[in-house]
Amino acid sequence: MNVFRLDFHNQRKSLLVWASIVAVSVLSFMAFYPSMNSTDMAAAITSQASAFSPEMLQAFGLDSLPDFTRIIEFYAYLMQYFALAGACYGAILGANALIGEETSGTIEYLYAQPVTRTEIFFQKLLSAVTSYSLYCLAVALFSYLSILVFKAAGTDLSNAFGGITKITAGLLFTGLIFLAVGFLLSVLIKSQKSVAFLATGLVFGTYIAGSFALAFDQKIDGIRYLIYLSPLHYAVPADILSTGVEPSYIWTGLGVMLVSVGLAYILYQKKDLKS
Amino acid sequence: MPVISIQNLKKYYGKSRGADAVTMDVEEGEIYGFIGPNGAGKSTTIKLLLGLLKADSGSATIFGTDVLKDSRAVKSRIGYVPGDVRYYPDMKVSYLLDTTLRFHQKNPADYRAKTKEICEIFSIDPTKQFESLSLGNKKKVAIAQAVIHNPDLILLDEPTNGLDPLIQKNLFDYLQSVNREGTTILFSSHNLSEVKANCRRAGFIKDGKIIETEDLASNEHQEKVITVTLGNSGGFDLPSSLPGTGRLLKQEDRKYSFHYAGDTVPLLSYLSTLAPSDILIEDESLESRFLSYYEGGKKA
Repeated sequence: MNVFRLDFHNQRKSLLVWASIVAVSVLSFMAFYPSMNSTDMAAAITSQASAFSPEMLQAFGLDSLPDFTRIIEFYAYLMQYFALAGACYGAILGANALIGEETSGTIEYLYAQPVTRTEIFFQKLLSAVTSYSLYCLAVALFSYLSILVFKAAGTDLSNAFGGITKITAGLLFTGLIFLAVGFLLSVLIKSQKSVAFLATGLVFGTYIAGSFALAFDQKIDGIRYLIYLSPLHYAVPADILSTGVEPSYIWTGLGVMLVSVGLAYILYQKKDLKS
Repeated sequence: MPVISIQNLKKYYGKSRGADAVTMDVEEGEIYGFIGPNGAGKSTTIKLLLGLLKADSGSATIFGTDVLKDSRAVKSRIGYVPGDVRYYPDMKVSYLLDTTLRFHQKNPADYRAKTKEICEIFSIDPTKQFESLSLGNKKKVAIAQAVIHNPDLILLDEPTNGLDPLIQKNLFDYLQSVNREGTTILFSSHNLSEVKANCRRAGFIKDGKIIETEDLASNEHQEKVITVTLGNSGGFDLPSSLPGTGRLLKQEDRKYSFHYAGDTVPLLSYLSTLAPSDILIEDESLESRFLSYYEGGKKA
């Protein structure tokens, strides 16, 4: 597991930065909850929301208006935006995994060691998955902490913690899909310089496609299937709380991961060191 | 059985030639110099040997094992110094050396004394981060990580680039000492004096092909560089009846320089018939050999 060890060692700073940013952000945004926890505020939000068209509400995840006086629903609403950040981190981790060392030239050191390309491939994949899983763990831990700090009197903690666990599982699932697609990109692209652009483009492009599908579902026949292009719509935090994740999304997500990693593996075996 | 055996190894980068049917052997326990100008194919050949690049055709074995079919087994016995050293910038030198040992299934704790010894020989500060090192110090780290695990074969791609003379001396002293213990060494270089001082054989590579392999340890086939100035304006040509072979290096007016391999007595008899005004006979240096190969020398 030397490649894993080396790769994880090299990723630890970036993981720390991403986890710290999300930890501070979760705590900061959850600090608004006490001010939301009033019937006046709930009425004001309902009134404001009614001014938007159904398509706009759909686009902002407000189609079934959350009850912001319940801390877990407020948290779930926030988490749909944190899921975007998580997806970006997953896609960047995957897209950097193989091309990063080729661009920096350190891959020559790795290739000169007694290790096969298959080992390099899977240990780097494992390292990226581990980093992303630890990121999700940090999100969950700071989410639990935020609930403990900002909860209202009478909050059902076991329900709230259960909700956070499910939402974090969704964050892990969607992030791993982007990580796998990023991994495939990592074999295809020629330089690390384009990673951030491609990763964020992948996340926001698919998210917009999914939002478009939902917004115009009633107006354009068949457009709903576009939602399968958007992993972030497979596990929308509010939906996870209310209905869970549809099995078709789970299978599609797993299929995307499998195909992406399989293709990446085949292409990586044929890939030559840049001269 | 040779430690390295390369047969018709070919590698093109698109239309650009890297190695073009390289064929060469390196015997067990020798120090082999790999000579050629920039772009001749030295680095490509070494990278093909390590499996860093995939050959278009041909084959290469190290210790009798195909370098692509069982690269792990082959690389477990090799230390490699790249021409362009690019390691992990944030990593401490000590961590890099430990990582190399771990890759070679060695426990770093068992190699503390060896690590200390290598760092002292090459004046390396193991506490430094790689990105803070100068070009020469990066090269020293590359050398240290190539030898730390006691490999049976060391491949060095222009190892003395950026090294000060003291460390160059330490490097070759160290290589000579591990060679005496049985380690086979192949290094590429532009520095012909270091090749001559350290190698038993040297291969000249030009346009991706090995054009000659020299036995530097033997004087039997020592070629001479002969400069003859003719007393008249007649032409000059070496008759095929001479027992040796010659190659014209340079002609200026009536002054001809050529190098000659073979018995010089018949040659001198022949030259005396041309009524020369001057004849200069010198042992051919590796430098003149290098120039003759790479400045487009032709047969006399």
